[in-house]
Amino acid sequence: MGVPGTPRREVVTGAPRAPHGPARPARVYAAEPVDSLALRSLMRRQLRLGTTVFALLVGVLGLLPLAFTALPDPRVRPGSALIVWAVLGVAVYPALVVLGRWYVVGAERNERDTVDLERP
Amino acid sequence: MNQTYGIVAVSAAIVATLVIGSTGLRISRTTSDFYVASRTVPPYLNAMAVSGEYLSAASFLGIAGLVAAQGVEMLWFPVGYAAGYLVLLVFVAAPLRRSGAYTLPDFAESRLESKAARRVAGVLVVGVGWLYLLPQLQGAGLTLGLVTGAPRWLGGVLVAAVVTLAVAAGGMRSITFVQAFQYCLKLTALLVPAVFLVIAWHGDPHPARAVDEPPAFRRHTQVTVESTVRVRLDAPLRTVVTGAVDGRAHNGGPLVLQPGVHEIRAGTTFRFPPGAPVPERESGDGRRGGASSWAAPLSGGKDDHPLYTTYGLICATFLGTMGLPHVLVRFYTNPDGRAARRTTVIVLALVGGFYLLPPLYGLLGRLYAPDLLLTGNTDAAVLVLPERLVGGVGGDLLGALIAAGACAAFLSTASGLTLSVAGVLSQDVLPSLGVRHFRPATLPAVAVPVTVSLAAGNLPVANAVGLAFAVAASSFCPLLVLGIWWRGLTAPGAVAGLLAGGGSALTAVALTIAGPLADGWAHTLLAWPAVWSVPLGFLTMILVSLATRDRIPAGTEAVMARLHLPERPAGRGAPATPRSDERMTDRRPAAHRSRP
Amino acid sequence: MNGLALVAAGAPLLFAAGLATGRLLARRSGRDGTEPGTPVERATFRTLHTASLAAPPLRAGLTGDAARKAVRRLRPLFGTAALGLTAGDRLLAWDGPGRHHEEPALDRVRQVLATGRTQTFAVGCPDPGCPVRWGTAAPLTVDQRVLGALVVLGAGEPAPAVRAAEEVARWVSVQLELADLDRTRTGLVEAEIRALRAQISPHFVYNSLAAIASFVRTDPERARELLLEFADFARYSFRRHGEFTTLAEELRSIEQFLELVRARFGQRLEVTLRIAPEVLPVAVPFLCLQPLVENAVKHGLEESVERSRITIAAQDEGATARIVIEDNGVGMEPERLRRILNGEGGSTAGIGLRNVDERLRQVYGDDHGLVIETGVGAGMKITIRVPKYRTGVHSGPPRTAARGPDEPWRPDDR
Repeated sequence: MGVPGTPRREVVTGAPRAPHGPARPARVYAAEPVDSLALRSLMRRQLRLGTTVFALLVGVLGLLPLAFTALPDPRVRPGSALIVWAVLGVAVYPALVVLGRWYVVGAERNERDTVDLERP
Repeated sequence: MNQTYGIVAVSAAIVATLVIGSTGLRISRTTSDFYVASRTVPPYLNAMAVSGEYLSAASFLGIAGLVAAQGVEMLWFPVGYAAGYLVLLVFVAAPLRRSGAYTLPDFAESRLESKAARRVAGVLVVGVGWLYLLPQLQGAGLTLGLVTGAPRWLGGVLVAAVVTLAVAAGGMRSITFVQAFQYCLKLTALLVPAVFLVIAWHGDPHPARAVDEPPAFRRHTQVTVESTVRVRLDAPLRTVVTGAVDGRAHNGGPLVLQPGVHEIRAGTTFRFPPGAPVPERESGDGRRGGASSWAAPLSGGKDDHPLYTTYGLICATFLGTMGLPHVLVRFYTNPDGRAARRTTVIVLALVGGFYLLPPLYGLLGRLYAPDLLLTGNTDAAVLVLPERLVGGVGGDLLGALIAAGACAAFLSTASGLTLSVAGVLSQDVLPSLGVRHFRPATLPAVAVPVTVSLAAGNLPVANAVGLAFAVAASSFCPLLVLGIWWRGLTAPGAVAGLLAGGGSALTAVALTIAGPLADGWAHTLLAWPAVWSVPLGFLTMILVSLATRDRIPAGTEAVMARLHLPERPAGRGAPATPRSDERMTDRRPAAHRSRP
Repeated sequence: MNGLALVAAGAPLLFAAGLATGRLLARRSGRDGTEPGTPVERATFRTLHTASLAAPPLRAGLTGDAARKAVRRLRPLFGTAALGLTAGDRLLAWDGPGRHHEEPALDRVRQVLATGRTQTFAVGCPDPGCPVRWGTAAPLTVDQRVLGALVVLGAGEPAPAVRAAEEVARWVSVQLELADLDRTRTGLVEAEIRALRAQISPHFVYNSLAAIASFVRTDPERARELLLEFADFARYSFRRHGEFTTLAEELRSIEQFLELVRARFGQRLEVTLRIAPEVLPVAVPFLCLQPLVENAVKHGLEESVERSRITIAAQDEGATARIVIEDNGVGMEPERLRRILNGEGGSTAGIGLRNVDERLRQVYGDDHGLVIETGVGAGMKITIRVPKYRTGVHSGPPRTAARGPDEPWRPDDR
């Protein structure tokens, strides 16, 4: 545009449409027929897998604060403090990744099974 | 800290961010080179972007500061920040991507077919965003203050200005690359100095035992107290004081402080001999600094009810991550639900790897920068350590690197948050401005938290973030989990739940910040609201939905199908041509390589 | 601290407002809300309210799900024992007791389907506990065709209930007609897309095939590749379903298109793509870029002899994606372009531009039409802003082709 000798441009837009209601036409639900049996079974399996992983997470990490209260006083046994540091500072993270990876494998297997079911 | 190096490093971080953001490492090729369309953002890159945006000042500075001040208990913060992604992964990641929603209000509208739900979600997004911006701006003030000597408020305002300009000018266009770069910068900025620090620690002729208590000054140390504090001493302490202690003025004379509580006026300077124990700071509201219980969990930390506090923290961080607006928008970049899942696992690894480092800094900060415990400026621990432990030019350079990382931390999170908040403001809260008026919305998005942070003074960085998590957990966690997994959710139910959960958490947060309640159970309950506000949000949502069962959206079944059924690979839907999809992807590179 | 005080004061207010709103919303849907006025007004209000509740599901057409909800909400209008809806002579939903009278009722429905008239009949029941004494079946008529029937079974005096049944059946028919209209509207959009395809095909197909043919002798490998490009391109352009696609898919098809054009024009055409990968998953209307690119190619190549440069750029702008297509071709007189966009062009020239403009406005609103900068001899720059999310816009191809339980029933299915 800035090049000398180039003719000027002008901005052009179409005229606004007559104002008739919202932009989007009504949704047509029936356009996507769903195999609801397969859907329900997939959802159930995914939810079961998800809650299993969540329960593991809560069961292990959620009980740690209680477990730590049971540890001996570090002023008496300094080793017990080290356990807390090792668990919360280091060991938790690989465990989280492993759990996550396990979930992904399971979830993708569930989805593959459903797709296979859909296309015999 | 050497100011020149620091200023250069911080400027370099800002400039690099803006350059990558505006010119962009965008895909820019002529057609015959390769197929642009198949080059969607791969999961590892997107995961780096998510992590870069997520690791904020709270992670970079705050965790180490909290660990230095309050001990091992504070390790629950990084654990929760990371574990939140596992919860997000198992309940939200793939379905949210498949919903096609870009923001949380989008999700509310598409799932519930309700403009009202959309608007309420929008207001809460803005609330969470502002709460989360507060500590970022404070972290910025702290870092820039240390690096340049500028007053604290100036740093926050400066960063706010940079972010506003960058976002408003469209400077964050190739945001994925910017944020991925920020992650690398942050990781490097903690990892490299950490190596040197550990070597120096090992080389220390008198290495302190890590869990020695109480901490002691290792050499002659001069400390200036910036605000009036009360300290508790268990043994007599010999020191040299200039200023006012217990209301009496001292002028550079020696003083022996007797055991008990002493009040130190702002501006007082102490000189401690080596081996002197660090006086234990007592906060104004009577909470103890926790020095005597530093290494052990739950033995009296900073709050009256440590076990409840820990669970409050776990609840907020585990469930709050999925409700952070700036995190969710990054998931849109994934091409499909599967990629969203894989991205989340990689984020878990990246974030977890990062979180191995801050506790180390916290530990070293307690050993080598104990004066921070007295001044209460523990968030600065990460920044001052290289100077204390390595020293010389090497220390200055490492310090500058850390400063650059800290700068990346608040820049990336603040710009991500500003983008999200401004987007929601322009689209849902101030819709009269129209679609094209995204830029003016940037101003209120930043101005409000700046004002509050100037007014509120010093909130501990990681604590304020905890409050933002609590609000997100009580409002958006129920909306997302029930919206994705329960067909019975209705718009009135969602609205009521969002307002009951999010509203009560917001109220608790406001009361905590304003501080009418100093002590006791009431204070603890308000300071850690997630334990009761999350169930409240869920319960309200479920009960009101059950009461309004006839308002279940007509398209629920179709929406559920879209959320949960895996996407078909593109093109398979066309029945006419039996060509396999594999060939479509395999053929390309070979074919195009063969052409000069 | 003023700001803090504000926050502290505002938050409880927000909370209270929230509770109130939640309760209001919850009550609005309840049936025992406080109603104003005289008994007649109250009755009218209640009737209208019930009807308005039943309307939304019916707008989805005569599906099992819709019928279930509608029947449940309509039954209080009658205060009768049972209410049913059929599609043809297939019972879709039944609310209330007396299900064992289904078979005789369906016999009557068949008569209704045949005659188009309401049928009233007495019901004798051996079960003394059964409240049903009579029944009536009223036709549901759309476009003069009887789609199904509304079946009412009850006790007591049939006459007023029969009148009511006829009225309600008429009302349901209107809702179904509206549903049909919705479908027609979608059909119209599909027809427009089909028209677009028809517009692309003839020249382009001929030219492409001619170009490919020219390579068959000299460079068979290239010819083979181009043929595959062509097949891919055609498969995408002629795909049968889906109003939306992803930007990635649309760009892929454009690349194939440009590859084919280059086969013909070789080095005269220079194309640069500058795409931010963040926007590739954005849903866009099917074939919304291709006509614009084709237009750019035409302006650049077919009407000038110089080297033609085309730039296609897509940028991330937060909640929207900005797509720009620029060429250095002959451009267009702004006034003429304006006429074309307003549908006053007369000729077929530029009909692709107008079609894209209209579809964008229809889907995203008037703010999102084409913005074109052009002048005679000044090239052309077309800018589109597409929101990343818009209700009802999904790029995914339709789900299973198998017919689900909730697909609407249409007379021509049998």
